[in-house]
Amino acid sequence: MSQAIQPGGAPGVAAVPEAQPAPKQRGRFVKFMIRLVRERPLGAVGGLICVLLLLTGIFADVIAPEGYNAINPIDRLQPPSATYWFGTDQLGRDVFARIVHGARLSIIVAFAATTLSIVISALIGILSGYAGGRTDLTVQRFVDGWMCFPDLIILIVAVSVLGPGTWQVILVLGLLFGVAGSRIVRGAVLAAKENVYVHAARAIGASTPRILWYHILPNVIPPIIVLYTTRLAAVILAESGLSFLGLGIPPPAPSWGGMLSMDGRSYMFQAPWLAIIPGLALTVAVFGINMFGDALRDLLDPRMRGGGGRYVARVRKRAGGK
Amino acid sequence: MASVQAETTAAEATAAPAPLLRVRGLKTVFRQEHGEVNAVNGVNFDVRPGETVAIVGESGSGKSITAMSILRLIPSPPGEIVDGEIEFAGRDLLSLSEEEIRLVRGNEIAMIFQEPMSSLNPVLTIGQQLAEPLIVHKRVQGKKAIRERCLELLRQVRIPDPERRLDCYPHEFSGGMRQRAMIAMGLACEPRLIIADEPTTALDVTVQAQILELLKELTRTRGTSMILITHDLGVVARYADRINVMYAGRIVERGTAQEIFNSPKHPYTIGLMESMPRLNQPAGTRLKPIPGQPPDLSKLPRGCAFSPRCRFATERCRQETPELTQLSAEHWKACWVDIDEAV
Amino acid sequence: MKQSDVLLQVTDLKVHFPLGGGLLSRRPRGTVKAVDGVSFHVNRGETLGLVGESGCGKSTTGLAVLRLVEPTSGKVVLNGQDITAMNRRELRAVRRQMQMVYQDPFGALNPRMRVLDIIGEPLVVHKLTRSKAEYRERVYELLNLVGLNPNMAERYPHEFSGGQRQRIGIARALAANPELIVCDESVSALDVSIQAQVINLLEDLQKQLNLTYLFIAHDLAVVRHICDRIVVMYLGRIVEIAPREELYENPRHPYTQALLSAIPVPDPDPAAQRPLDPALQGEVPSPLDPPAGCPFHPRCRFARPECSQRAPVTVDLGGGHSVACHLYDPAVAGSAAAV
Repeated sequence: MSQAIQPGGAPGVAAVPEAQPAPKQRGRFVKFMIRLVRERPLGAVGGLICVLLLLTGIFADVIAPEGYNAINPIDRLQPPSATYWFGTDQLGRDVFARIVHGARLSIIVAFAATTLSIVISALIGILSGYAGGRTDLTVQRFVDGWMCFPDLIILIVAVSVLGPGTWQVILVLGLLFGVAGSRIVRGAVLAAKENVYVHAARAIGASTPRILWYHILPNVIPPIIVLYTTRLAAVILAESGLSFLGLGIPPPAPSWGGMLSMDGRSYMFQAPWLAIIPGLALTVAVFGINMFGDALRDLLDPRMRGGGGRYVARVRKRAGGK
Repeated sequence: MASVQAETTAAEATAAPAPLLRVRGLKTVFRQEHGEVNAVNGVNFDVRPGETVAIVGESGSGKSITAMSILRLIPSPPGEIVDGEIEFAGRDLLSLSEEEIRLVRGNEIAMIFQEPMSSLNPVLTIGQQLAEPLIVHKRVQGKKAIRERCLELLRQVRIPDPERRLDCYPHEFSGGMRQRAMIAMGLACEPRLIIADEPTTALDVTVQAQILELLKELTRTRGTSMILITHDLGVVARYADRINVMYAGRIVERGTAQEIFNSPKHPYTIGLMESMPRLNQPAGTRLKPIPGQPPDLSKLPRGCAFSPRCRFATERCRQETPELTQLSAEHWKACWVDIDEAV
Repeated sequence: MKQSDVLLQVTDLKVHFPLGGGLLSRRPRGTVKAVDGVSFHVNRGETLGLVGESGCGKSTTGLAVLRLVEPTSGKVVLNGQDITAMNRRELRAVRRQMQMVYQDPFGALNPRMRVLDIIGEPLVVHKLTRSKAEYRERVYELLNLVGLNPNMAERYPHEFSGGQRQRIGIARALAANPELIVCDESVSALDVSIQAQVINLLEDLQKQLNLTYLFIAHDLAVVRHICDRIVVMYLGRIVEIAPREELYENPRHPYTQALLSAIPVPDPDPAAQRPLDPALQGEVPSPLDPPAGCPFHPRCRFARPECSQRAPVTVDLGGGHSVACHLYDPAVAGSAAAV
């Protein structure tokens, strides 16, 4: 049949070499890791920190089997030593154990609140962006209104209504970041909607859920991944901030923010490690996650590659003799 | 009119006037992750004073890169001019310093681009942008004199009501008007050579005709040479004195418009002519497309790059790359096959 | 024409886009009359060309025919079914009968999907195949039909050249066995040598599958080659409809004449060129603020006082040739028809 259509043989066939096996998923992951290490070494360091943080959280009971609340009044306020790597606090609790268990707490809060926030972002963003028109306008004004309130006020009000506790913190942070993040998802949806192939799918007669799932969502995934990683760090910081203010997770839970405020502040001069160690843990964790997130964004966002448009503009400018 | 010009250029050729621009063995490569792309692969051509030379080719033929190489506007990295000579009015452009070539750009050689939309700065008025080359190349001194010159330029490209238009922003101009403004900018320093890279591709047919007529007239009245880069054979036939046909980074055929259109000798040129729907052939005639796909510049075959799509290709074509050889005074081709015999 | 029954009838189609208007203000700031009262029909098995310059509303007309843009008023009847009166459900079902081939061979295919899934999407959407094997079989058949090798089914769009992608787009349009295909500048983005391949393919498919094309394009040489009848549009209105030969040999509307004179003919012989219409100056006015009366009158060298006052009525010149111009209106004193 192709002969009938193409005098001179099926030309399309000749130019492309014989079918090669499609690249495997696994190969793609390995390739991605290689690109990460080669193009964004700092991101790779961040990734390593993230992995360490995760492992610490998961194996907290193995690393520090005595738990975060083993009180040992004899050894109170000991400076860092071979026995107590990070020293002890005013109740004689091992700071190392508390940091390790604090990592677990941070991870739980971070993942739960971030996941919740991403779900909220995706729902609002996709609904608002794809529906467009009046729905979009209404939803966006609501988001505008929400974002006008300072975060802290919303947090304080929410916590005073719900009371302090891990789940309350997760809920509040999830909602707070979720609404704000919907803007980014909406932007990605709006851009994806302009693709001709989305139009083509409508012309074929595809239903809205199908178009959303096959043609819109894949375009929204990369920004969502990036949003997720940056939000993780922000949530860890926010949780610490809340705990520091006494609005977060109540003691004796080893929240890094709580440790900074309860013990660190009171004994800052007698036992500076009580403030320095949780502060360092926080810094390293946030730094690692942010670096990893930035690297992900650069590698996943095709607009960051090449940059052809920019050089054309540059060429133009030079051609004008400027 | 085209025939008259062709005769005069042929006459000039025998008298061998010094060409204004002489390009020899130009090679431009782009280095990419997956290897080198030979965008321009040994291009030779001349532009004589006052003539319009066309470079035609399909996307990826290297026609635009050739033009950009002349002004050394190849973004580097990834691009690089690796070999060749570009002689303009007795100077080798490739050996000039960055500062010296900057004084050539927009001054002695002007370039007009395809999209009049993105080639103009949206936050500056047309007047400010027109004045730019005048100021940069110190052509005119004094605010008043510059404004006078800008007005004169707008009048030359027939923008109505130039006094008012000078203070307009690009978005207040239509597509055709923007392209006129671009041409005015190109003419500002009275260049000896204009390189027009697909100057009308983004415009409607009726506007295209106006712009091309304008360019033709301006070059003729001022004796400016022009390199017209296009994929549109219709435009070429109407406005070019001599034509270079490019394929995969090389010139495969060169001749006067008559020679190229009435007796093409390279199989690719013949293929182009046959695949084009024409207004002057009986409707419903079946087109004869060139089979196959455009060449992949990073994986060019041995020998002649066109050989995989060529119906006359012989073993020699697949082994050795043909060079441009002269058929008559103006007619050259790069092909091993004698078409008249093969047909 | 092979058969002369009408597949598509468009009557007084209007597409107006309101400009502005927000959450609180319902009143739009203005209206773009992209399509303003367009009527034409397409016979079964023929190719109707829709030509004009940018902003003339040809693409919007194509989209409104498929109801991918909501018409403001007017009727579109496909095969006796009034598409403009359908609800969403009925519309999705009728989409099977009419498909679209796009201009941009790069943007029209989802880069994350395999060719197999791209071409097969209409099959899934309209539940046209019962098993995986049948689905695959049908996609292979379609690939063959458009001159591609079935072993390319597992690849992604970026592995193909522009011409090949356009073939994939055509295969997708054919998957649901449509009767009408709207080709919106389908060959404009392709190089000459590849364009000819795709034009030949479209012609062959039309013969094989008895397809009807609504061929939207700005390239008049291509349109002359492929179309049986041609509709010329200007600023949202139809200025002339004629069979191919008639339109190119004997254009009546001053705009059609000017348009034809502007096409550069690929022949260096000056005699082959139509002399450029010297009167055609200026550009298409903004559709936001079209001239009153005949939209072409500011650029028309025959314009007379009534041209700026009244919109011309469409005059049937016989033989399927009709023109909307006061020059040919017998009711207008001094018109060519009256003289």
